[in-house]
Amino acid sequence: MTGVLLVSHSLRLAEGAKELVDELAHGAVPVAPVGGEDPLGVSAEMVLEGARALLAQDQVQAVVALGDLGSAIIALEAAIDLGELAGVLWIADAPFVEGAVAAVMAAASGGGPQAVAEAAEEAAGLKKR
Amino acid sequence: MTSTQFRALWLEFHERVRVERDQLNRLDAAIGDADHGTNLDRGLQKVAACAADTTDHLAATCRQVGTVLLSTVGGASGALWGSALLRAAGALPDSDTCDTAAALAALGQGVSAIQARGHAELGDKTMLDVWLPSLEDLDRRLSAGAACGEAVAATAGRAAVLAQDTAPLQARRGRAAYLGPRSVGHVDPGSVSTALFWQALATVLARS
Repeated sequence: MTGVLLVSHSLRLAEGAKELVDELAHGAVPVAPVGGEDPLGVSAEMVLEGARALLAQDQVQAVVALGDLGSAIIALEAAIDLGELAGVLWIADAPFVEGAVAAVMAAASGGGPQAVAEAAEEAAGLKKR
Repeated sequence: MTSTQFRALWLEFHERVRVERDQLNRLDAAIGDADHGTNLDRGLQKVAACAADTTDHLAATCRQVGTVLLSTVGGASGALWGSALLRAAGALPDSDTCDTAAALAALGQGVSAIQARGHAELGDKTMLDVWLPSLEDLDRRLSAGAACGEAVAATAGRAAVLAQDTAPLQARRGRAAYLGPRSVGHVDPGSVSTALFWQALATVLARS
């Protein structure tokens, strides 16, 4: 199973996104929120901890991560630089909420990390009206 | 550069950031989230403590500094500085001293890492607007035969000007980019802290 890591500057924003996708996927996909609270912000270390928590779950073989703003992506890339996440953490360049929904739906359907990341990235093209 | 100088560099950089912390926060408040000074001060405090403790050689110390910055400085700054130091460590020897060419190579590698990680270009109103021209400036002075300490001191002066020169630029990377034209007229805080790094380097080299 592919887990989904939601990385936001605000932990509450990441938790809110998790709440939303958990309901849509009936909690079938392991999702971990990562983010700051007092101060807001995100670091490579926080990403590493969140990814470890997901990978510690028996059925999780890979993790696809989404970030809210550019520096969340930079923190994700830096976390991969630290070494242990290379090859198991995939970064999707996707809109945070729509991408999270698409990623979790793809993961719930048994998608591997590439398919899940692609589903998240394709969500960038969805029109709301 | 010796490993003693390298450790002193981080103590000196921390001291300069600590003194300028509120000013860096104020600059960041205008176009970001007002925490650049606090963030960098906190991370460098850990780096300084760790630099004061270690007796490792250059490459290992540089790696250690990078790892501490990655884990303690939030936001893009921590990741960019951390990645730069991890990459620079690869160009430093496993010994207690390196020549100017190796130190320059390490600086160059670090700046390449910042560029690769942040996807920023010259003129995007980021710390690269200080890093890239400062490196060229230093290179030019050294090629012209200036002594290393003198060259770095002159480049540090240039870096301070380059940091102020980010004011008229419109941000195209980072949080400030969301402000679009409203980012014009404000100095980029990451450029100012980068100039502080150059000043710290000059100070440490002048001591020996």
